[in-house]
Amino acid sequence: MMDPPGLPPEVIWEYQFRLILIGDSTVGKSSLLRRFCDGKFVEFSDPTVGVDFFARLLEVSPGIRVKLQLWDTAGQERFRSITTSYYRNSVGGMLVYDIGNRASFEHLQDWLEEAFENVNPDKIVFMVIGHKADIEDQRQVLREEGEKFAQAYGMKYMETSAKTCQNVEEAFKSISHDIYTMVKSGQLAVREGWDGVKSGFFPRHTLHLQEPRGEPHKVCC
Amino acid sequence: MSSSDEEGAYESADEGATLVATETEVQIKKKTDSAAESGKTVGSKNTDKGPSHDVKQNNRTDSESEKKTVEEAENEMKTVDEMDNVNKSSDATGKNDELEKDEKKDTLDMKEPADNVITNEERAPPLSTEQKIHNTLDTLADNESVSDTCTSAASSSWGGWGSSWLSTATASVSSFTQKAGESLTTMMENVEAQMGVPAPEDIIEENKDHVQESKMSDEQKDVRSKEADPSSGSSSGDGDGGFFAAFGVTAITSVVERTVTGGIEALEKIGKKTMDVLQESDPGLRKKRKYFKEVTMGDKVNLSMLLREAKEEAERQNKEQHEEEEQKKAHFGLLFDEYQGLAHLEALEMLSNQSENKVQTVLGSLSGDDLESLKTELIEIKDAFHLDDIDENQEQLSDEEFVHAITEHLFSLSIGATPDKLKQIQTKAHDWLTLCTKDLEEKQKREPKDIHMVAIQTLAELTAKSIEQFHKASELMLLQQVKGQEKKPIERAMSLSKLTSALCSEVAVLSTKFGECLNISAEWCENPSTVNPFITNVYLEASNSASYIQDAFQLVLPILQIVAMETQNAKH
Repeated sequence: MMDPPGLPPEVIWEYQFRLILIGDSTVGKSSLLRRFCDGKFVEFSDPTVGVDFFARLLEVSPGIRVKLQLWDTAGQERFRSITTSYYRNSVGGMLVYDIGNRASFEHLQDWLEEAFENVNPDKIVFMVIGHKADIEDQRQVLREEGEKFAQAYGMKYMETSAKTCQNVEEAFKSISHDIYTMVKSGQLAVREGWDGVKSGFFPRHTLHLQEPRGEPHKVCC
Repeated sequence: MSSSDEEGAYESADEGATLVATETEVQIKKKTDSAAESGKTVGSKNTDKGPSHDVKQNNRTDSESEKKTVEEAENEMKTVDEMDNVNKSSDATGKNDELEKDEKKDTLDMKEPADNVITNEERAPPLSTEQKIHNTLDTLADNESVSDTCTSAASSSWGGWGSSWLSTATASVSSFTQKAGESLTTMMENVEAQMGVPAPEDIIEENKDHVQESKMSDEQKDVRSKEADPSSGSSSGDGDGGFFAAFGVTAITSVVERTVTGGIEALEKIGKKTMDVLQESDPGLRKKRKYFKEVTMGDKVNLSMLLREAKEEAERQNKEQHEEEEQKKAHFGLLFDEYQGLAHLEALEMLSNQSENKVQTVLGSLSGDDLESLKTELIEIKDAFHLDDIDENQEQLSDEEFVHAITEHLFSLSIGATPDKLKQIQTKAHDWLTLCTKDLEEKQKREPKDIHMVAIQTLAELTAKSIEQFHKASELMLLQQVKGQEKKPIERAMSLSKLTSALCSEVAVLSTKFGECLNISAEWCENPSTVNPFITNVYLEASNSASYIQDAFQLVLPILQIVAMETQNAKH
């Protein structure tokens, strides 16, 4: 791909990956995203209505930047009918549960089935996240259980904490890299009418699209 | 050329005569070459020649000297022939002595007159020189041909290799000269053919002469230079130089100069013709001179300007980068995306399309009265989504009116949505505008660039949040339909329509106020015309903003329609 003239390559992103975060209410999906995108952590926050959006640029390979458009879905049951509408245009996602909440782990199966029913392309990259890893003393789900579940579906597993920043970067880097590898190998492709993977946004000569204004990206760790 | 005071020596010795004759001939040649201008004869020749050769030559006529030269050339040729013969016959080892004798004879023959010629120079005894030559030749032999030296004794070996070496040398030299001569002739022919010069036989003949002469003396020159090289490196170099000078320098000079003159003559002809051609349409070469002058001048300028240009380029790039950063901060599209306006619009679109599909499916499955009544309701809702031309017929709302309007309309949707975010943006923008206007009234300078930036940021944020509001409202309406509720879809449509009008009005109010600020700031600007693009851009993006809001509003239509259908179904 040719660089537009007069623009340093670092302001360009090669692809946009749309990722969706699903899981029970209060497992910490919004907190995880806020930590990853804004570098902030708030102990308490309002439940998500419908879907919220986050975005961040990430380097998946030297010189190759992708824009992650992250769809933060509401975990509440009443929004289910809405959130399923959004699955379709995602290239991948994170199945998030709370390691201190056994039920959230047991619901993973339902979330996954719902995702598989609604996602459009046959190939979708999912990852299992055992969140709130900082509350070890309240752990109700063993790490091994999470790993086993992920393994059963051929997915990666990571334990993260928005509070301590544990594995937040790593988790997003991992899934982005996997998607990028599939895009590169041709297993995933930019398609008309599907927004899971979009090819690069090249701003006009006069523009820059680097980092969102006033949004510190790497406050983490 | 050695300058000699002892003039008598010239007459008696052959070599001395050669020297004089050669020089004379050179003079003659020069003279005849420049025949057009030289009506001068012997007298001018002497002046040309310089003070070293004088009275004696006056006695001679030109023809005499020429005769001498020819004789001399013949002599030289003989010498070379002798050497060639010796070389040829001395392949056998038995003839080594003969060669030695011949060489010695040659050198000794030449030695005497040389003594006379170079009187001022010190000379080493001839024998020691010869010895030196032999020694150095031995050394050379060791280097050049190992096989030869291996077979014979060191003392007598030099003749053996010497012969082979000499023959090789002469062979190569003669082949070289032959080639040089050939190529010169070929060149001449070519040039003549191309330039249409009438075939000058005399030139070719002269060339032949030159080639022959150069062939002869080149051989000698070669031999001598090989001999002279090592000896000149020794302590008695001066003497050797004198010794060889008598033998060689005269001949070399003569031949070289002859060759050169011949070559020069040819070149002169080429050059003359070239000049003629060049000047054909450009008398005095004025144009061409001017052109080359410009070219060289240009080069000089470039050289000095290179650094300056590089520096300017770097500065320009820096500036551009800075400007791009600035523009990024003031780019509506990018900021709209950063405020997640685009994502909400896309999500709303997804819901809208999904609803639209559902509506079509339901309509296709219905018939009769059910279809008619549903159609009527859907058309009602659609009519409610028709917006008046808000750009022109809208009375502008004041700050309070706007907040009041959006609160009322959002509330009437009865979906629990609050206008907090919109209110916040609006308040922030108006506070900033108030402060800016006050500053400008107090003659405090405000950068138009900064006003423009805030204007675009405000518009982008307001637009993004408006669309988010429509998106959230759609989501909530889709959810509530399941529960069933009091609020009729048509009422919601009306509320949404009014909300849209209020939002578009606010966009217009804000753009006008920012435009006014920019106008005032232009008065304090060094170059007021630079402010115009900013003002234009604010109004342009305001119009974009209104379009986005209205588009988003239209996307809600299928959602409200599907809600209406579901409500009707629930009633049945």
